[in-house]
Amino acid sequence: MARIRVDPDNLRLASQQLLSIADRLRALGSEAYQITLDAPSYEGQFGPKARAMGMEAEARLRSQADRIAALSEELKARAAAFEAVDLEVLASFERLTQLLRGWIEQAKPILTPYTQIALFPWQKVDRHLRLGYLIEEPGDENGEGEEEEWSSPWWAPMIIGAEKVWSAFDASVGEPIRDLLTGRAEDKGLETDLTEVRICPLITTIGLPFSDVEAKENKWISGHMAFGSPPFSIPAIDPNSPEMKLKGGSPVWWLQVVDLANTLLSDHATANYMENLEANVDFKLYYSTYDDGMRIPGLTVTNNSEVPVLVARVEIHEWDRLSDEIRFVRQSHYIELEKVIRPGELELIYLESLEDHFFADARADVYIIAIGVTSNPQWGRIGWSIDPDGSAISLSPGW
Amino acid sequence: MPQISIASGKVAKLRPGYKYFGLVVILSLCVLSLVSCQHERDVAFASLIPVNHPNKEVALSLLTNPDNIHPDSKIHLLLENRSQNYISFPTDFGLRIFAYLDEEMVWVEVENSITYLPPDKPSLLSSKGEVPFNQTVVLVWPVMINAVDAAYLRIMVSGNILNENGPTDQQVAAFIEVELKP
Repeated sequence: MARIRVDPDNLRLASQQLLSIADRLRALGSEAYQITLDAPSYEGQFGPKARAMGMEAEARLRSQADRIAALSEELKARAAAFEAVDLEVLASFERLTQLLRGWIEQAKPILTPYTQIALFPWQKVDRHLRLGYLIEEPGDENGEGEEEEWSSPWWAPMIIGAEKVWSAFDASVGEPIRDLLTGRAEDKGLETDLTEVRICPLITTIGLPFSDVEAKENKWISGHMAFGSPPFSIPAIDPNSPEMKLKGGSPVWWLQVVDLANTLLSDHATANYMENLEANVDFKLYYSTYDDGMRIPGLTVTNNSEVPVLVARVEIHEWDRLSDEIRFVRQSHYIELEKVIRPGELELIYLESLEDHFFADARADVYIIAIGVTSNPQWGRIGWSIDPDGSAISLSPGW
Repeated sequence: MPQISIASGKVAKLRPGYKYFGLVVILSLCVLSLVSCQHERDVAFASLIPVNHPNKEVALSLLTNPDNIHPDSKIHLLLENRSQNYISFPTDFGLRIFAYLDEEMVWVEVENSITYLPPDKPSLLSSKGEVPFNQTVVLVWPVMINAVDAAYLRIMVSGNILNENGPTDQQVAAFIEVELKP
């Protein structure tokens, strides 16, 4: 039976793309209508005809846009449905895990000795027994054949049998079962992994965004930034404002002192707050590798922060090599994006300027420059170095 | 050494002023030489690039740590619109980079190895109240082939003020001087 694999996030991405196409269609329709609206009327002939055509074009494009928007909504609903099913499956596995765990807890007193037998070091015992000549050595009577593999003692098949039973059990239910029994699960943090082990294979993707079917591999690498609205912004008092100047006298000086103190304190508090802010904006850079190089088609930005984020620019440095030791930057691109991603939104950003650019046999260092749209914004920069063989590493952030 | 006793019983030592004179002279000379060097660079730059009121409507500041700027460094700058108007910059921000040759006391223009994309798309900066849309980050990477020994760079951007009809003829510019560490 064919296995269908769906990623709701991808469906949502596709839905968003459809919506943006619908918007473009509407804009096109409107533009067409505007153009024909101003068409001159030659002897009362051309103008009305052009306007009619414009109206028709707008109506058609609008209806197409509505259909696409409806499709987008449908896709969103499907994504939600898949997610609901996924959650249900997850819950089922959770219940199954609980059931198994309960069963294991109950069976522990009975099964533990058997497990201990399975772990019994029979080879070591056998060796010691043989060293003490309690059991005859293999080989001929003259002591030859020491290099041969020793035969198992009479009781070994029973132990091996137990080993095999457990291996089969582990393979069918999951590796941690045996560890749970022998008390090693907590050390390995396997208790929580049990569900994940079973669920992970179900959550796979139809295909990555920006993926190219002709590529050898379509991959992505992620990075994070933290943006937040500083909680300590104090409304600034402008002592130099005309009203203040008119008042004159010592209050102006006092206000200046208070304003300076405010500035210093709030700056310090804001810096401290920003330092402790957890990463809340995810960047995923997508790239496709081919036999002779790679392409970087775009990135996605998921804004989980509470402030809009302006993704301003992408900086790409393309490396080349003269030899294994000597490498140099062949060219650098600085690409304007100027995309604002609102809180809670996920945005696909196509690097259209690099659409036809092929990184042949060259590593590329890619940086993203972004800023939170707040009253006290801080510019941020993250980067990765991508090799045409598909490997990628994060570069140190900052300037 | 002359001494003076005061009412509290403590003794204060009086130092003659000539002891400070040498120090004052040396400090003054240092300040004067620095000012004159700066003045020489300013004069040479003004004669090369006649710009009215630079750094007034727009301003440049360094994002890259000044201690890490070497002749082969990429430099990140923060470009900020401080005016009430929108400003349009060409794709490459109208960037020009100059290196100062100490011996000849002249600024020479050096190339920038960054390709700005997409081509022919102007970059707009909002008015100063619309933070952070009144800012952007500019990346430059000077090619110092014709100014290998230069110790100072001046990076200049220029754009045009926008009105409702588009870019006007009113040009605005800003430059920043960067010291290159050896």
